[in-house]
Amino acid sequence: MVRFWRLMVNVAIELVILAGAAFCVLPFFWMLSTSLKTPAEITLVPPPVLPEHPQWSNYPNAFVRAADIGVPFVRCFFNSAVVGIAVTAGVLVTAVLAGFAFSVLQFRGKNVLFLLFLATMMIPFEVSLIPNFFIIDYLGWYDTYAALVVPWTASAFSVFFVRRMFDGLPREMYEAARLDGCSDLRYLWSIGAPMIQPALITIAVFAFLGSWNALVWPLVVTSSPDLSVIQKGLASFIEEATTHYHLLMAAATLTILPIVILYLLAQRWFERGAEQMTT
Amino acid sequence: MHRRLALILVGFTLVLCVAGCRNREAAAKEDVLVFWHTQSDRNAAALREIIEAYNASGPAMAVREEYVGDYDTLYKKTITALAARRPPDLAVAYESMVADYMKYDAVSDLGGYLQDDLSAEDRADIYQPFVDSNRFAQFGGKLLSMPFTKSVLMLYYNRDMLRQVGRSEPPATWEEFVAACEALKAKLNLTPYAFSRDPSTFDGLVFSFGGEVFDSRTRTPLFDGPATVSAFGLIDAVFEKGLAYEVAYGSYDDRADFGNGRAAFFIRSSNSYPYADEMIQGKFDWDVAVIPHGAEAAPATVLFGANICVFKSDERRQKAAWDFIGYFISRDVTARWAAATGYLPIRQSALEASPLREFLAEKPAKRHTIEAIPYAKAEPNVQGWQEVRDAMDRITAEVINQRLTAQDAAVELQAAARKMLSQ
Amino acid sequence: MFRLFGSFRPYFFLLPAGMILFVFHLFPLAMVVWISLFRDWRTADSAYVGLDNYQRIFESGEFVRSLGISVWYALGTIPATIALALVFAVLLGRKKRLAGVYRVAFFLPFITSTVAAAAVWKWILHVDQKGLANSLLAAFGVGPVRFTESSTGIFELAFGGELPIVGGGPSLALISVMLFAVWHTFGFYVIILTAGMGQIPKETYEAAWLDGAGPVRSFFSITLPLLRPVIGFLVVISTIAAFQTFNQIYIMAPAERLNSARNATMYIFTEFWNYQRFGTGAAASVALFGVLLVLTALQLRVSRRKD
Repeated sequence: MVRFWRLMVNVAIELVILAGAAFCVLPFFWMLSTSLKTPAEITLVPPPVLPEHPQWSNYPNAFVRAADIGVPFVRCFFNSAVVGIAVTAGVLVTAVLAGFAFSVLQFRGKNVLFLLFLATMMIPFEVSLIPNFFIIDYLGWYDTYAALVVPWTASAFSVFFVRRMFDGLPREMYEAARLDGCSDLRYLWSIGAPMIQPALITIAVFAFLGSWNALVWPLVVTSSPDLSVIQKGLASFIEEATTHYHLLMAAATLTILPIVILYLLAQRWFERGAEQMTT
Repeated sequence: MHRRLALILVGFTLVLCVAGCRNREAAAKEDVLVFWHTQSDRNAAALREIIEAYNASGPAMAVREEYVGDYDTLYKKTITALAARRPPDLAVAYESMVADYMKYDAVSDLGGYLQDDLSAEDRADIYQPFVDSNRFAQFGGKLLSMPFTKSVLMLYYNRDMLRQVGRSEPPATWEEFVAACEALKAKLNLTPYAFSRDPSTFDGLVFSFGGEVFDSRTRTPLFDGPATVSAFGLIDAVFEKGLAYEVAYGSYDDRADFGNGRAAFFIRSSNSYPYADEMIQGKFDWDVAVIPHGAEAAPATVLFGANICVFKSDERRQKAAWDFIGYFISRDVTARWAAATGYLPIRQSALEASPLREFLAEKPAKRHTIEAIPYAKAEPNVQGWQEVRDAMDRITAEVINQRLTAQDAAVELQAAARKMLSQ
Repeated sequence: MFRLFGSFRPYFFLLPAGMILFVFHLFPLAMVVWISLFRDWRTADSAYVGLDNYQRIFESGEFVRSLGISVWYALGTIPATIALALVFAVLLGRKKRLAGVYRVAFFLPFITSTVAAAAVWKWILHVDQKGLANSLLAAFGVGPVRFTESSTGIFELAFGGELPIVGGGPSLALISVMLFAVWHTFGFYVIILTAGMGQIPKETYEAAWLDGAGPVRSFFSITLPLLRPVIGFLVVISTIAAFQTFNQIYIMAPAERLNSARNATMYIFTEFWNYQRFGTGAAASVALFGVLLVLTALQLRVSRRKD
């Protein structure tokens, strides 16, 4: 009798988890399905679950149509990739330097400065949006790659994270290296950074993710189609292609694809990073 | 070690500076006129052809067109660019947008160029309402823009469906319209009127009931008149009686549904004509007409005000920009433009020019859009009107959802408009 | 020359990150306060107006209304997301097989760009029966629901009128966005909670089991209390995130962007982007920042007291 109930409970749990996973995945399935439908199938009521003949041509057509309305999709991918890599490189460099300093080096005002760094995490983006726009303009960076990259090359959270990682390293290792005549930078490059590699990969992954998924900032600081990044391009496409959902879903799929691939490859780091944020 | 660190820092700072400096140089204007517009698809192709022809004719400065999105996006981008002091040379704008651009005192006066460049005869050839709406009373009557893509609000109707309920002519008054809808619903079992929520359409409704929306002398909105109440009342009635349905906001589903034979009426600008034509391709008999009017009023509709303005810079650039405008509104070019797109020709003499003349012979419906010009009224060109338009959308939604009566809606709109315009 | 750098060396390490953070995050905070004291900043007739902008945004009631919408949004998403994540973290913890696969499924929404994902949701919640949701409802005879365009508050829909104090409630458009937010974030929280749960030593559970506690009992007596710091952390970050919501509203509910889905972030953005009222936009930013500071301080105080 008890075994029966236990079985029922386990089955129920399985179903619930399955339902949860289905809920998470359903929109992706729908997105894919719609992206392969014909324009006529989009207007069908009720909508068919699967297209009759998958229209793979929707994918290249999405590019064509986007170009028609002035959204150079290919260029958008390129821009997002370039900006993403630049931002990631920047975040890594600045975080390692600063995190190392806070962890290992001694200097006056260390705590105050660290608090200041942390304080920037508290500032919501819309508070700094308007002034940042004017700052970008003052620097003459409006509608340039610099505007898309530079403000995001430092992340207080990454500094915080790196510091914690360095705190976990044995102090003797650093001191031994110094005694051997190794400069700080040399130490970082050859020993320190490699030792905290998992954290660095996590930071890199999240930095790239943040840059790839950004909408508001590119919307505000760039205007020419040449500098359009992928989210901005997709948003414009959404506004224009209102009835062409098959193309829109194809575009959305393509937008998500790189990150999904990145995730599947670097899955461990994603989860590790999420965990280490709390513990 | 110090050297290495210093090198890194210097490198970092240098990269930043180079990025900044290089872009400051790039900020200096290029030797091409940048023209921001909202034309997409087929119209963009037509525009590009015209611009290429212009550039090939050896002008003072070549023109480079950039599609920047729909009117909303164009407006926001232009305003932001003005705040960043990097506006384009030419941009498309509704009259009210130009008024907002004047907050930065950035729009150049085209009156002088018009006087000098065109003969009196030439000037008279241009449809007067097109030019008049570009004179801004609040800025001393200056001509701050020129007509570009003019269109009028039209009623698109499915003549086959109307015949099935015993009518051969489109409804002339709103009463006839409602009656036709009721007959269509009863006979054909569909919701006949595909409604798209849009402030310009609402303006058209008010005009068609004999009212105005704005008094440019006293600079006050006029939404507290009977025409506004009638306009809201019409919307209320068609939804309540199940004669109309609202399509997804911002979409062209009304046009699509009409093309698929799911709706009998939709009301949109005449520039939807080529899209509808392409979609329907003779599957059924359809046409366009001036929108119905209130029983005691004269026919009236909206003149959509997409114009082109020139931003202030040096005299050379401004003159070159005007040169392009002049080319665009010349007889043959405007005839080409009108034939290739759903827009109206800017000049009367274009009606006799190829390829428009042939096009009109082939597609009589296009002629109806041109015939509507005398009935068309422009929308207000005052600063802050953009926000009033947002309020119109919002309040229309409330009326559709039966949350506001027509009377209350008019009162609320008037109050909101007053507040927004006084800021 | 380099000798001089000696004691300043650490500061040079901080310089790159510090410079960026200062210029683009700290300095703007001061600048936004400055801008909020001017009318029509950067236009031809800019003028110092002191606290006038603040008076304006509170007088018109629009800003307060937008704050209210942000609050509804926070109330609707934070408990739901955390509760859901807790449930699934616990359930998933009991599974041995395929747990990893499920975690991937749950986490997938979080890494998807909100623009693309919101576009898909908008299509799913399309206003007529072409959309998946409405076609399912149609099978039950329920008329097409204009999910992302409905501006009526749910209380008003349910009870035919506005309730005292709480008013009409969040609109369906806002609720659609909230649904999206829960879908988007809960997977991330599952991972964090799972990690937190992993910190609890197995012996604690075994001891409780020996004492006769069932799974439900041990959840409430052991898991939940020990997870309190983690949950507290989630509450803080989800509050900050809820008040920064932008993308999904922009993409999913553009029709209601200026109406029932106009949260504080949208208000600031539209003041800046649609109407170029930099002064009032800045004032609203400062006010919002103040509200968030107070909220976070309160939350920290509450979590500290419980310890």
